[in-house]
Amino acid sequence: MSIHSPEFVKLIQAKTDEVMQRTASGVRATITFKALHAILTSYQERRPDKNNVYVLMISNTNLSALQIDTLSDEIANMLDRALHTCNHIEIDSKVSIIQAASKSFSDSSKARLTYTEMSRSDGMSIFFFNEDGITTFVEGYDDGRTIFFEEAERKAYRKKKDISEIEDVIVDYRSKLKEQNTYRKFFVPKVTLIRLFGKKSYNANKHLLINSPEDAFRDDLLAFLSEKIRATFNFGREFLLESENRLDIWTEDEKGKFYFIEVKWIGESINKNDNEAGTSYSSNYIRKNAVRQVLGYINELIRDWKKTVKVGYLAVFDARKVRDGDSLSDISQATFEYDLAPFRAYFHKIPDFIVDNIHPN
Amino acid sequence: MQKPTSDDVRPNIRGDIVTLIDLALSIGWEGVREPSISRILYLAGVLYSFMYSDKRNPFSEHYHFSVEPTGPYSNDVKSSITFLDSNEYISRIKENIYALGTNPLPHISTLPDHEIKKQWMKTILYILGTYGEGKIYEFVIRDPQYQDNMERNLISEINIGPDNESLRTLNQFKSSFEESLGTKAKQIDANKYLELYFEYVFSKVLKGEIKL
Repeated sequence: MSIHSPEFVKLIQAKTDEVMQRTASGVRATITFKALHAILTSYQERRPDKNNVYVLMISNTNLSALQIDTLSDEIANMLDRALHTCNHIEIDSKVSIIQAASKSFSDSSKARLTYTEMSRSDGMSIFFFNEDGITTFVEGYDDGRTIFFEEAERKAYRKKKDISEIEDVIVDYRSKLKEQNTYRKFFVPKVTLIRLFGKKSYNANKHLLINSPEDAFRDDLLAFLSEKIRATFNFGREFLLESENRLDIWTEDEKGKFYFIEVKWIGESINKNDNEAGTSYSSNYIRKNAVRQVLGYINELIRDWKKTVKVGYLAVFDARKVRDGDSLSDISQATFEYDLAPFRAYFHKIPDFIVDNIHPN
Repeated sequence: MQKPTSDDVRPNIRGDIVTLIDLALSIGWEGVREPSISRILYLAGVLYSFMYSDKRNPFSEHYHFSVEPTGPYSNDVKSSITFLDSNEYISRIKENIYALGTNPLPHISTLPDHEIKKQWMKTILYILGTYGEGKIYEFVIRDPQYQDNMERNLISEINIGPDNESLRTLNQFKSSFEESLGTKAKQIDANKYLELYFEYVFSKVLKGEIKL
């Protein structure tokens, strides 16, 4: 993007409110606020423990009375001392501590909301320190330098795996599929089965999936990957392919390498009226249709979207009542046009995700 | 190749260096690294006319910078630092880091343009200070005028006068804002544009999203 380009103008347009608020803020524009911000930045740079999370607050009235030119040492000494025992500190115009406490929030959004509200309603200027630097809250707005206001969330984020470890994460997903809270949302509830098949026969039909279960499978896998991998997983919308299909799950790493997962299922689902068995798919569907579809997507992404495709996965949820092995244990079992053969190199079939309705409600 | 400097401007450069160090100490820096002195003075010079378009640029009259891998280089700044250090107007507290010395620099407030340059350096330093001294190098080597000299492999003096590449870019940045914000843009003054420039453009530039 160039500074002269329409994209840059659009970028500013999208941020009009933010820009206007930032520039309209009387407090941020003051030399005292800027100097205090610079002093605190310098202080934070010198601290060896940059991942320490703490907050300095000062009312805007006290801020305006701060004799900032001579206070940098006093501010540093005050913080050094106060941080031994506290992480939320409010000072007055003489850099004396008005109140100090140890606080934590259950999550970042609550913390952010609290600081925003304090800056708006209580007239406080708030400096939030963490390893991203200093995020300021003034007159109801923050300057967006960090997204982590709660340290546990950053730690959880750090524990996330890199996208290159996606296949390890997929292995972990198999365990989750055995949890009742996970698998039961894919199947027809017990109450419906009893209504349809009676108390004696419902057990023989507990393998029936909900109507159109593909969305539930996709959403569950998407949520799991997002929780475990440091990447933004998306579905659909932005990739309406020429074939008018949408990618189920996709992401790009920081180098622009593209990953996607096509989600399919085999087994039997209930019809849309919830009154009898509806659609069913077998391994044949995977071998004759799904592989061709994934290879076609890879072709379109490389050719039309100019994407550097790393891998296109085919994930199949297997909810069959009777199983006869993996839906595709080898790509030689699949049929597809000769033109698509070069894209096999980018294709990977994940061994079937087995889903069983062991304890229907 | 840098122009030789007359002895007349050396007191101005010395005064600027002492002022700059004094301002940096006031925002909690323990001192200023020698390369940062040149870099901040360069940015102050190259961006001066954006803020004071109707005034002559005293920095472009006093400073002659050339491109070096570590940033803008000026013989006069180098020799002024040596002079100030040897006369204890400034003091080297660590390798390459200078704080104020034991002797106050005489007649500093009577130097030409002293007050306006001091206020301008304060503006620049407070903006840079919110990013930290470590970021200044990135700002400088991505500065459009500096880039221009680098890309064209120009060994001649870097233009910090009123027609420099950085000002052109900054004015285009302003035009883009005016185009997208319409009449609301009138509420943004030059000082705020400068902050937005550093904040929006440089943060995006550093992330590789915008080409200047």
